[in-house]
Amino acid sequence: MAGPVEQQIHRDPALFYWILLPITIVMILTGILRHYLSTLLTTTPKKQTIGKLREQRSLLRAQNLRQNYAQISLQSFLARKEAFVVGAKEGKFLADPDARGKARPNPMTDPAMMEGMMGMMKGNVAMMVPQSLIMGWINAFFSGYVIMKLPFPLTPQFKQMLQAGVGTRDLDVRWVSSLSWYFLTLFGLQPVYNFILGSNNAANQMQQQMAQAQMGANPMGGAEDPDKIFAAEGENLEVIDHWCVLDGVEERLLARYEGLSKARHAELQAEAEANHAEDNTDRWGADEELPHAENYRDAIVQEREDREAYTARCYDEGEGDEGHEDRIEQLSAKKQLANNQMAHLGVDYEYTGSMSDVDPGLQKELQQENKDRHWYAAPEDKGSDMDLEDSDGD
Amino acid sequence: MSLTLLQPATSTSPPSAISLSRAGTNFIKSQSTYTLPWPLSLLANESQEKWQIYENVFLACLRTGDHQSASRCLEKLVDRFGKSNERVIALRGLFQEATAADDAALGEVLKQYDQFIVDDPTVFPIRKRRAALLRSMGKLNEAVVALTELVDVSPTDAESWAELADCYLTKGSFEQAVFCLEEVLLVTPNAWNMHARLGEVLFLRANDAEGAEKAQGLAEAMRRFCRSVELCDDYLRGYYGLKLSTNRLIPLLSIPNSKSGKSTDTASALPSQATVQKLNQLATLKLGDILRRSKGDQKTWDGYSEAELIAAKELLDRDSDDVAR
Repeated sequence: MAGPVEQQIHRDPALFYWILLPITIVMILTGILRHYLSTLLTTTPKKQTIGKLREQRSLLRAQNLRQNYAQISLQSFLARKEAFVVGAKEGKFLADPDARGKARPNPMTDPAMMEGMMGMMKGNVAMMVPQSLIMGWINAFFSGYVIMKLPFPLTPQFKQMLQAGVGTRDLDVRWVSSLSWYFLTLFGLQPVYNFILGSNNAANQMQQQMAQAQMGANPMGGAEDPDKIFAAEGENLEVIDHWCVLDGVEERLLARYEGLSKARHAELQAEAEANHAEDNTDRWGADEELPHAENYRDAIVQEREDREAYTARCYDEGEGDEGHEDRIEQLSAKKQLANNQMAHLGVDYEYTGSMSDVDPGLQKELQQENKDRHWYAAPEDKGSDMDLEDSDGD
Repeated sequence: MSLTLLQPATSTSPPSAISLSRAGTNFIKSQSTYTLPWPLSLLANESQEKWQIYENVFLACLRTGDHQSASRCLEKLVDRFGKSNERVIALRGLFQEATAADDAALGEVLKQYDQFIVDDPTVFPIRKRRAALLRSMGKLNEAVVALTELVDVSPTDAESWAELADCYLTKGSFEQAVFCLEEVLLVTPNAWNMHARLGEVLFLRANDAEGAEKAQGLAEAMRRFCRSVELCDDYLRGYYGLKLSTNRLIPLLSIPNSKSGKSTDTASALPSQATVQKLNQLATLKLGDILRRSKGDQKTWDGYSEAELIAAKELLDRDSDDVAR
């Protein structure tokens, strides 16, 4: 590769006027032509017969009933359901009641279907013919030219895309050949068409192909036996557990107007609380912490009792100890912890020291704390220079 | 201005229809007749609103009797969409109906419609026009027949169901009207005006009934009105109906009724008197609120119809008179 040295190719300015511009203009004009061609060629979809319409809309009505049954009372719903189920059984809604139970005809023999296919073919022809013509034209006249240089660098992977028809290995990727310019315009002119023709144009064949691919499966295998669809819809209706939107509507309405004033009140209160709680972020969930700790302590006590009973029984029966003793010791330590946590959270509980605590200083400290607690709980006794924050902290 | 031009002319009040038809004729004059020469004219885009405006102006002109402008609009529409377009056919039919001199001419139009329908039974705009024409000619029963045929073929058409309900109501067949309105609700479950309309029909039906059935019917009507105002906070007709139905329901509920205890179905159980009282108060409050605000000509509160406001005021006044006595 040339490395940092930029490749310089001196192009004839005529390349610009006689290749770049013509290709661009021709591509734009083809797009416009294609748009009008497809507009001319599209046949208006054939009108459905009245029977078919009735069939479709009756089915839609049943679906509406299934979705919106809550709007009507139970009796009305039952009557409608009954009417539909019976009608579906008798084939009342079918476009062609005589054809019930017969095999579905081959879609290829159906003239209406054929017409649809023809329409699609026409569309495809309108796409394909100009495309292949232009492709041939470009190949015949303009292949092998390097016509422009992109103003930005690219990785070598783009070589295939940008330099089609130019078999030079070492050419910088920024150079674009005429054939590649054709492809770029083929795929990239949609905004230009949008500008010229409006947004729902048929100029770009890529879009059309995508649309076809999306609905591809539908035109061939879409038509199911309508009789079965009706039967299925009837079953859907049968399983509905009816409720009515009018049930309790008075209470809802009244609650809403009462609720409005209440909601406003609650909002104000919440605001005030938020202001109050700002200085103490640890306060969240303080209401729940104490009961939680109590539950925890109770669970520990319970487990300990169970284990003690079990060990006693084991001892009586002369079986071996299975590590319960260790566990019981752990539990008593845990219980003390839980107890102290509760004491920390609520003033009704006292700090306790354990028997195994040998440090006399700690025992004394805990007792002092409990004493302070009692002063705090009985405010008239509180005359000392006690600091709640200190005693509360760990 | 173009915004008012875009609103469908059928829902506007007479004064606004007049102003619309005036604005519309100016609009049409302002549309340039100059078009680009052929290949370039293909590139010129037409706005989608343009033809909506033409149609609205056409309808407004017909309402105000400006047949000349209407025919000019129609010509434009025919030029653009062709004579065989369903909508254009219906609009032309409308024009012929409006300009028909006497019943014989109307009969001609009707025959034309019949011919159309025989030729192609799927042209729904014409079928609807035919039903509407029959009704306006006073042939109510025939209109009902036409509409039942229509809803049989197209049972998801809320417009036809609503029209049919209206026909039945005119005939006094409440049961059928209720059925039709329920169908409308199945298609448009959140249409509060339809809930209120159903409530009105139920209310009328209940007024004919006696005893326990009357209370039952009134309660059902009241629930419909409740649903209506639940969906739309400031729906005047809904509150009006709520007020009226609760007014009638309260004395019925105060009579101790041994039968009411027997029904366990929640949908048909009678509401407690306290609830009904509260709803009545709510309706009174809301009606007063609406009256006060619309009288003050507040910006967003001026959409109420004058007649409905007067009726609501009347109802409130009557109520306060009763209290004073």
